[in-house]
Amino acid sequence: MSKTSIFYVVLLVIGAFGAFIIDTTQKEPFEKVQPCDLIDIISQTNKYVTTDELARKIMADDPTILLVDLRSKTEYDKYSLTGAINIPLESLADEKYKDVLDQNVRTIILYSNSSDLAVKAWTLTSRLSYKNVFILKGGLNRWVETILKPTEPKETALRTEFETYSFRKAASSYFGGGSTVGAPTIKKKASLPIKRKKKSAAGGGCD
Amino acid sequence: MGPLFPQELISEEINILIGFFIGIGFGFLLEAAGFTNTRKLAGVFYGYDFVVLKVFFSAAITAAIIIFFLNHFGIMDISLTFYPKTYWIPTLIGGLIMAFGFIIGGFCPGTSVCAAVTGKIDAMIFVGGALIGIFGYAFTYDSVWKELRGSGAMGKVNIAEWMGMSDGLFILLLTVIAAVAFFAVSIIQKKVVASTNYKL
Repeated sequence: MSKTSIFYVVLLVIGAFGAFIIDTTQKEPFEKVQPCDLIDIISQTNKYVTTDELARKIMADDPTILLVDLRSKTEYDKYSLTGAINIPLESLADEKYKDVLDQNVRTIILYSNSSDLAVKAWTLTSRLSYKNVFILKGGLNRWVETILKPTEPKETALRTEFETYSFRKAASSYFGGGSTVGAPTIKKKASLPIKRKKKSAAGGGCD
Repeated sequence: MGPLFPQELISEEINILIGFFIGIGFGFLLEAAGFTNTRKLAGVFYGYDFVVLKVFFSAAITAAIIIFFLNHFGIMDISLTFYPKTYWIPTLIGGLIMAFGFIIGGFCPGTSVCAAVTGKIDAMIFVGGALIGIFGYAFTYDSVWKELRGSGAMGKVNIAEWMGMSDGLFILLLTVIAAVAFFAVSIIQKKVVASTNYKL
């Protein structure tokens, strides 16, 4: 064998060895989040967005937020927040929602009636290593309590509480509060972003 | 990013055009490496020239390693590339026929076209024979070959998966086998060339 071919064979063996090392040390994406790391992620407190913050964002027409309604389709049709899209919890991991949820541009805010479904969904998304996902604290129940039907603080309350109250009252009228039943919901038609073309394997050959 | 065509990042026309230029390059290199010489090709069966084995084996491994890394670093999604389904019975029969054609004619389908273009008359006849075979097969497919064609179906087989090992391990094993084979055939070649008077 000539020197050149020996050199090339050695090169190939090194390459193959590299491939072998990478393949055996590489973990599946799901295994990237170890249980102990997941505990850290779950116990972090900055995963919540309060109803006040959300109301401000919606009123300011913040284009960076994406509201995701995790309840069923019927519940979503009955009442939902402005601009929210409906992804029921069961279909959260569906391939068609992957492009919507797995991104790093918009702030995704998950909500359900309470925080319950949203926390579950949030845990799932962090397991999938999706970024910028938050939970609406207290869910729609808190939304109704605080934004749509705010209660006046006691006279002895702090000034900040009054400020919050006046903001909430303003928000309440913006969102047509007072009553959720029959309230004129100013609902923008929410739609899923344009999906990427579904990839398919190449055809050809004698198949 | 890749593969480009299945994701429609390039049009079919561009795809064919790229294929055309790769084909020209391939043919040029086959000729340059002496693959249009029938004796060189048949040499692998007689033991005096193993360049065919070396070239095709190392080409396959080079491609495997590069594609593995492209896939690993997210440049090319290997799951979108095409590979045919396996039907082991017709593959075995076809392989035998091809091997006999290889020994008798001294060409494989690619090199025969290459050699025909360089003006070798035997290669032109070889290509003609191949075309007759292709048309003969096509026109008698329904009545004669259909059953054989579908026999021994195994679906899409990834050999590493089939043997229950990782892709990386399979590539490593294959490379080691190739390296050993290259070394072994170079010894055989030396002995055969020394004991006989085969000439290219």
